[in-house]
Amino acid sequence: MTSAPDPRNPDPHDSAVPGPDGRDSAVPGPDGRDPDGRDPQGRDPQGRHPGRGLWDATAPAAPDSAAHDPDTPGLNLFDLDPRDLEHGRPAYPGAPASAPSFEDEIAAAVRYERGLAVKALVALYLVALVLAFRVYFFG
Amino acid sequence: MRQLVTAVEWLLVAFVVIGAIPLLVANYQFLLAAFHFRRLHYARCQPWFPRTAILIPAWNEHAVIGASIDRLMRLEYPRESLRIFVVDDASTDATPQVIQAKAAQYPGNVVHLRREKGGEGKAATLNHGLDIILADDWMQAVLIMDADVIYEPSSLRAMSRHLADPAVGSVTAYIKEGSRPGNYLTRFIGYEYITAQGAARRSQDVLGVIACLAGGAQLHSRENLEAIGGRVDTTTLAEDTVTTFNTQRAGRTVLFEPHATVWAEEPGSITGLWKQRLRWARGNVQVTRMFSNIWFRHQRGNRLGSVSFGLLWFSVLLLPVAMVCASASLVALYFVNAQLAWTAFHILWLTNVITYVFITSFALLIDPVVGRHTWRQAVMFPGAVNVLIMLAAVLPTPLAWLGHHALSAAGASVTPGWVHGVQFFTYVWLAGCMGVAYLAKLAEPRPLGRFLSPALVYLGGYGPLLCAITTAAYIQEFRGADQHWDKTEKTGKVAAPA
Repeated sequence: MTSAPDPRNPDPHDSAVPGPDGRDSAVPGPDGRDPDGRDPQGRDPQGRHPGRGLWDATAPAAPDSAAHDPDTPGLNLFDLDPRDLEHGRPAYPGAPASAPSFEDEIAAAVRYERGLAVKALVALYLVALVLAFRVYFFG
Repeated sequence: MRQLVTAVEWLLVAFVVIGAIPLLVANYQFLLAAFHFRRLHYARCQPWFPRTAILIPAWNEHAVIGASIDRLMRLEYPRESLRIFVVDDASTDATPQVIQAKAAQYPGNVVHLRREKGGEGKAATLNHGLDIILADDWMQAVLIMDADVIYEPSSLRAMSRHLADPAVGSVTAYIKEGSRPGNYLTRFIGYEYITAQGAARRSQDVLGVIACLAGGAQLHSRENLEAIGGRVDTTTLAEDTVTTFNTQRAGRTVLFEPHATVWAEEPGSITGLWKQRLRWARGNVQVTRMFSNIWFRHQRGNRLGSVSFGLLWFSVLLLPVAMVCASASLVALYFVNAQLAWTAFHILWLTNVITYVFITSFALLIDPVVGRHTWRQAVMFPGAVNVLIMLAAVLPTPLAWLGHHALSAAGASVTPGWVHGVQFFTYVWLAGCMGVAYLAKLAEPRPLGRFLSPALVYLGGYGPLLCAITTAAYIQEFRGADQHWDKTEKTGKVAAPA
């Protein structure tokens, strides 16, 4: 290793600053953690890296989630109205105020994925047209 | 005797049907992709920025590594949570100097790891970096990437938000071909990546099993890396696929994030493509053998053994076999019962038409941005002759009329001999197109190759070219050919579109 982490910044996690628009980039999430996962109250980080020295104090913990069920690879958002999602969390620390929020980005992604089903129907419609043409004109 | 002939005829028809299986599976795969919205993982996501070590293996990458590091430092990600570890695999060019300059420019964010003895392959280079990164408690996630790829600013955070769910072990991104200016071959690859990534990985997400984390974009949680031994496989040419399988066998979920876009430079010559894809195809053969005990067998905690996944896997791996099987059966059937051969051929090619129209139109709609640049290659993906045969399957009378008039204009007339000749040619072409695609590789380095080679690819088809490479992989594996890492040359011509 010919270069090492910056010794002038031994704890880079103390360097959270407001974003360029002046908005505090460390808006706590719904579980009380910072957007980058830190627990502002210094609570135990729920066991991601227990007992690992200096970095443990700031080690972000994963939000609680349901036990992993291998038969359920992902949640079904079909019935989840994007409007039901919480609004307002910045997508990343320092995001400009005009940038879409985390929830907006998720809602946009969900919309795009739903749109693919419609696109598949369009493609199937094309197939049906070709087959109908073939059968109608040439038997 | 008559019964024996009938049995042989139906046996041959059955082999033709086997040739149609990959087509049916391809349709199934694309239909699954349409249901991706039913299996989204976003409800378990959070804005989540784990301390991420970005691991870049680099050998003679001076043309691209500096710009790559600059772009990584512009990611929408807390800079204090990023460290870039470039493992310089005994580069002989200016790569070390470039990395050291970047380490000085971004103190605390860029680390230069030098291997004095290199040339052991990408996996060994990655393991060198992983040993060092895992020895430090700082890292919570590792992003393994290639030196030349461009991450869109939101890509890493779009991937990392899934790691907020501890059940997720790894996340991969949507790799797109980004050579600017590209050529005909990079545009073929661009379209291929819509089908192989934008569609195929979505469908795998729906099935709950991912075949391969893209080598240029794989984000692992620390827990996952530790659970699979903290190292990547060095015994095969498909270390990324082995990592993907091991992650899922360890009970963790692997996800594809289609909205994390990564642009990669892909080969602009058939020689380069052949080298790269031969490595991938041989790797897939090796992985098939390595995990021989999982296929079509229920696996506890993962879906690698599901019937659907097995069908997807083997329909790609055995596609050349299916093509040869269908072609040889049609030829044999032609001599036994020409009328039955013609009927079987029609059914096979109507299946082909359905598959072609559905996949091509859906793929272009999945990614209209890439589709706008690559629609011509999408249309010509199976090759000009195959497109013509499909047209003949849909428009038999007009094409027969055209053929008749063309022959008349040439002073010939349509005789039964002509008809049989055309039929026989189409049966043989089903597998013969792979041979034509192979000729494109042979022609490329020769005089006039820069004109002849693209013409042969358009004639024989890009899809058949990939099948020819897979066939070469079978042969090399069967012969036990030497296994060495042929690095794909990168020139830094990749650029994310504005």
